[in-house]
Amino acid sequence: MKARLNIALLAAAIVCLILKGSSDQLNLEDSALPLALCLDLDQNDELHIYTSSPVFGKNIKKKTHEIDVKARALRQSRTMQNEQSPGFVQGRNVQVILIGRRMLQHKDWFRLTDIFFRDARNTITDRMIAVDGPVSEIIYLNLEDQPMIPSLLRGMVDTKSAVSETANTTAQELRRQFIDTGITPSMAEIKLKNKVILLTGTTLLHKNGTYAASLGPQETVLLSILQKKAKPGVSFSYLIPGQPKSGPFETDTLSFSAGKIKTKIKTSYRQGRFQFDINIKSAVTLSERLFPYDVYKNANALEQKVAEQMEGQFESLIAKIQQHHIDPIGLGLYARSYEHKQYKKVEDHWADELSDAKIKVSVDIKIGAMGPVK
Amino acid sequence: MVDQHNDVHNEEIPTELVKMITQLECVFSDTPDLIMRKLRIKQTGEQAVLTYLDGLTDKISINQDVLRPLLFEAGSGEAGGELMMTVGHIEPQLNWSQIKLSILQGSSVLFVDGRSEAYSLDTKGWPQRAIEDPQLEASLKGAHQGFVETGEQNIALIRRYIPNRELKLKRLTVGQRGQTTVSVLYLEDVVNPNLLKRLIERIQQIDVDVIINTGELTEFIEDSPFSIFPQLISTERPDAAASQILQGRCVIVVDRSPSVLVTPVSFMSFFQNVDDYSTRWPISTFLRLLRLFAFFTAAFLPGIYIAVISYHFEIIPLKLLLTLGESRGQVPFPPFVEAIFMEITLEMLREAGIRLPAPVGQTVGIVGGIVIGQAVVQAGLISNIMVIIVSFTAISSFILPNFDMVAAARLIRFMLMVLATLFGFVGLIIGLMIMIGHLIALKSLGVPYGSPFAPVRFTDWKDTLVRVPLWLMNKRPLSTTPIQIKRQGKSRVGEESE
Repeated sequence: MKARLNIALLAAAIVCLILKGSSDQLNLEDSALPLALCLDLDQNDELHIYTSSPVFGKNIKKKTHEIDVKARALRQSRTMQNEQSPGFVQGRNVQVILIGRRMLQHKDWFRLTDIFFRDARNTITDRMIAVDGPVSEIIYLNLEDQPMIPSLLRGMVDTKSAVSETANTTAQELRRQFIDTGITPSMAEIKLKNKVILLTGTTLLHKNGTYAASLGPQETVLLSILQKKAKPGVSFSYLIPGQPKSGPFETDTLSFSAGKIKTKIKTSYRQGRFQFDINIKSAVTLSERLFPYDVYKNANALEQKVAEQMEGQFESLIAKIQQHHIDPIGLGLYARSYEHKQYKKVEDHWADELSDAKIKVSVDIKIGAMGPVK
Repeated sequence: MVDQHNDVHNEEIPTELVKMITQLECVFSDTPDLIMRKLRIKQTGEQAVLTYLDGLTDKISINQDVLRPLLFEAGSGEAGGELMMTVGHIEPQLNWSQIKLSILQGSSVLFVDGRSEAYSLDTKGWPQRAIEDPQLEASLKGAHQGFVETGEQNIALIRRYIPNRELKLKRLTVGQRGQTTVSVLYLEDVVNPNLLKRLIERIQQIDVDVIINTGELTEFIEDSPFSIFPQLISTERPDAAASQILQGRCVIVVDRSPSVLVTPVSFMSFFQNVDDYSTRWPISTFLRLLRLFAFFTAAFLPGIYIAVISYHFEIIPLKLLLTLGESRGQVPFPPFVEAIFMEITLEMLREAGIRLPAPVGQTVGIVGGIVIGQAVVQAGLISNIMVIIVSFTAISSFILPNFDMVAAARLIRFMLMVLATLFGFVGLIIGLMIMIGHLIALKSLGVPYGSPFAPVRFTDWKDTLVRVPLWLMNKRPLSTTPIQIKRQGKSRVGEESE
């Protein structure tokens, strides 16, 4: 009797389930999946939303389908995108989000991205990339010798950020950087030059989202060291003063790759301003030495010279940051932890406060290995 | 169960031979293979008739051990004296029903004029298969003897492994017409008497015509007949059966069936194999994990495919997405239809492979290989990822050692495919939860099926996911609730102290 009742209940449940079915079913082949989403303003400051979706089919030569719509907001643009695409446009597989330079000249553009986070179907691990120039040039660039633009860009950001030469900022991370008072946003930067896409480094933004400055690859490495994000293996190259040059060759070059980098940041508040003492320690491996030098005996002198050069670089980077009133390093996080009272007072304009702070960088380099040749 | 000759059932045997012959002819009418040999016993000078069924008896034995001594050996010469025959087992019979049964079971019965008892002589000898390698449960290192269709032989095969007087045997008869002998083997000082009592009661309750093989018996004695999970293990390996008895389980031998049943068992028992104990323990541990993984793959993989394609394609990595989209773009069917088409093709091929005679069977393999592997993809009917998934599920289901558990996994696979179509991953998780809940609630002979995981019995874990070295398995599994828990002493204690 009990068994029969159970079976009846089970059958009823199954029938209900089937009747209910599921309304959000959408097969892969019935959807259009933009892999790149681009936001930009045209000459008349009108918002354009571009998407680039892959097209599946053996006989189709062009593998991507680009759509350009003028819209007020992202979700509102979807209807217009649907009009032009073979399937339902879905934001689930977006790999990269490109932001044009003209967008970055206006504040509060980040509010447009609300849909990424509010509609949970959308991915939030897409990489944010700032474009130095108009986005339309890049999205319509149909390169024959390269993979489609979205995979190309995603690949560039993922591999270069692995050696810290660009910022690997996901949409979620960017949102954190916008909301957290102790840090200002930064993201990868690309540029189109002679029909070649270049990953030029990192774009630094003000707290309100406007463009502040750009960092080159080497500067980005330094930034990531300060952020404690640098992985072992980042490479540096310096001209060592006092070493002979030979003709057109810069034979005073020394290159090395850093091992594990230890960054220590000491935070204090003295005489009405914040003070950060940053100490960077690393054991390095020489990878290139174009001048004769007895490293075995005189390692200390060489270490000293390299450290001086690095310190110089760090100082100019910090000067740049302070000059632009930004904090991509996230020093505000340290200030908040160690000098909470003082930080709370200046929280809302932390970047301005930082430009006034005293930041000292010291570098300790140890040559751990000099390579298999003498 | 109408017997036309009910009237003669319990009647006593008539003493006159002529009357007896007429009665025999009446009981066994239309039975031309019943042989009645009239003879005069030289030993006592009495008239007698020897009756047996041709084909069920051993002719050599009848000629040499019964007829020759009766016809030619001189004896006391007194009527009613002792009959000398060289048959091993002679049993005096007093009533008709017994006589009928022994004739039908292959004994020959000797009626002697003037005596009120007949003698049933053990001359059984029916067509028999030689003992061969087990067909379904091949083993690399185990014995190469499998069970045959004669219950006594099967019991003998098990006894060879456990020559112990505690190995007891309860013999029951099931089936009104079939009169199948069902024997329950167990170790009296190990097995829990309550379990044994429960099992015997269940077998005694069966009221059917005939039990043809162990599979039929299973349906009558298992705990949850509506479940898709097997609750008894059926094995055709004597070494496996013996090892189960030693773990405190009961083995049911059904006469005429080439496999025996083991009860009570748990879910994990279906992932164990005799070879596990003869290969090195890290390797058999690896194989255990592989089998569990294969079970879940066989059940879940097509469902996961459907869920991903229909609902959650955001989890596909970019490069796979491009290939998948490329190949899905050409398929005219929704993923469920695609998957069900391929899975049904696979099931049909498998079924065809079992039933077809070997020479034709090869054709199935070739046709199936071409259909599944090549043609459907080229014709654009099925995506190539689906082909990979079907092959992967097939391989996964092949490595499970127990056929009944594979069958369960196959059925679950189809249910999960429907759930995945309706609800995506949510459906799959609900399916998994229902399955786990069911496994926990299930019982085998009143013993929890989910043991040792639910209820948790840590001491039993050493023979589940990990198969620890044999010299550490000093206790019998608690899941069988044995009355003697200790299985062995510390064999390697000397070396450890060194």
